[in-house]
Amino acid sequence: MAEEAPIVREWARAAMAGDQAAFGELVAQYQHAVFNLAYRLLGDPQEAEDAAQEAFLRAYANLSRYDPERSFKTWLLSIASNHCIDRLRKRRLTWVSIEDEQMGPHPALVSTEPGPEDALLDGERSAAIQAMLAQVPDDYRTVIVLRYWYDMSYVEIAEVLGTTESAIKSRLFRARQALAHLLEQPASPSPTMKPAMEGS
Amino acid sequence: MALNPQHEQMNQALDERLTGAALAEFQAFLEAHPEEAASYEALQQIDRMLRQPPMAAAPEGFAAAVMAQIAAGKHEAYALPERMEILPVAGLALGTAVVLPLLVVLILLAQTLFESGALFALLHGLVQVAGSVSAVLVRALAFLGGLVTAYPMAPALMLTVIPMMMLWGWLVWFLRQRTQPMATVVIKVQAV
Repeated sequence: MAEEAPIVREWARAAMAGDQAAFGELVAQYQHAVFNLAYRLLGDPQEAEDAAQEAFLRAYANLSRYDPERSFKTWLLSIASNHCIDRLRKRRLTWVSIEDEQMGPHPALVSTEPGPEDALLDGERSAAIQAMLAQVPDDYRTVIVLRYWYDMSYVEIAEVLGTTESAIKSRLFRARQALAHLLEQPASPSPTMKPAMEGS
Repeated sequence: MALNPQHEQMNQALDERLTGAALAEFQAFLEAHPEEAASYEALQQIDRMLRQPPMAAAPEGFAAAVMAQIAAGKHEAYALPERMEILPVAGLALGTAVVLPLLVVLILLAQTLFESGALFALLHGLVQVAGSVSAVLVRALAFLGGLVTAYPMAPALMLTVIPMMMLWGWLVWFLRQRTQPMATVVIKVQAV
């Protein structure tokens, strides 16, 4: 992951010292990263918003546990991803169609100031990626999101998920295989059912 | 489960971490194995699709909503208990406070028993009890041995009872669960 800006470390230190406004700066800085992570893992924009908010509240409540020598973003994303994984675990009894409206593109899916055509293409690509992500197991989805969206190294992903680098390598390979397999399949018009993930 | 060397190389190639001789060796491997080359091509396709993926932006007012919740003190519910550096020391102190008086009492008791000669009587009694228990065990084993000789099928029958008991236990547990309110199961079918 990219080197953290010195100002972020300053904000983090100030927030740890009780400066609420400094934490506000951190929220503003990382709101999209945390929301995107929650959205990619959970698939539902409303639940992603709740989860992202809760992740920030958890981070603020436990700032004393943050080690200022390490990346604040990694720490924050680690809280968010673990919270989303907990939410996914709670959904096991619920089944939804992957073609449900919640898997469609979120209105807020935007890249930085695109033109209308770019936005449309981005929206379509995003929806296609999201639909594929929804079809792979939770642990595959998590490594894919952390690797591609957040450019985390294997070591960082292993740290976030509390496992070994070797396990992450293996999981990422299988996740890529699963997605490649989905890409090769012809688009099927039949209703697709999958076990999932609806918040209860 | 660890990856095989070829899959490990594919991972490295996708992450652009294969260079020089290793990359040449990998390319030679793909040329010699068309099936693996096809798999790698599919992985490359998915890798290209996922490069620079579109970000979902947080909704309008998201940061303000978070800060409003913090101002309202809602974050307090999420605070984990503080890590207590003092905890091991406190545990040790508490342990000492309990164990030390107990040790003193035991020493005093032992001293009294020695002085009165009652210790030997106590040991004698303990040996007698141990002997009686052993005798009972020996008799029980002899009885079981006789039972097996008289009824050779008895052990098999007893072993059969174990899974049946487990099944019965599970059935009772399952029926009890059924009587409790269950989480809602939503099944949505979307016709196309």
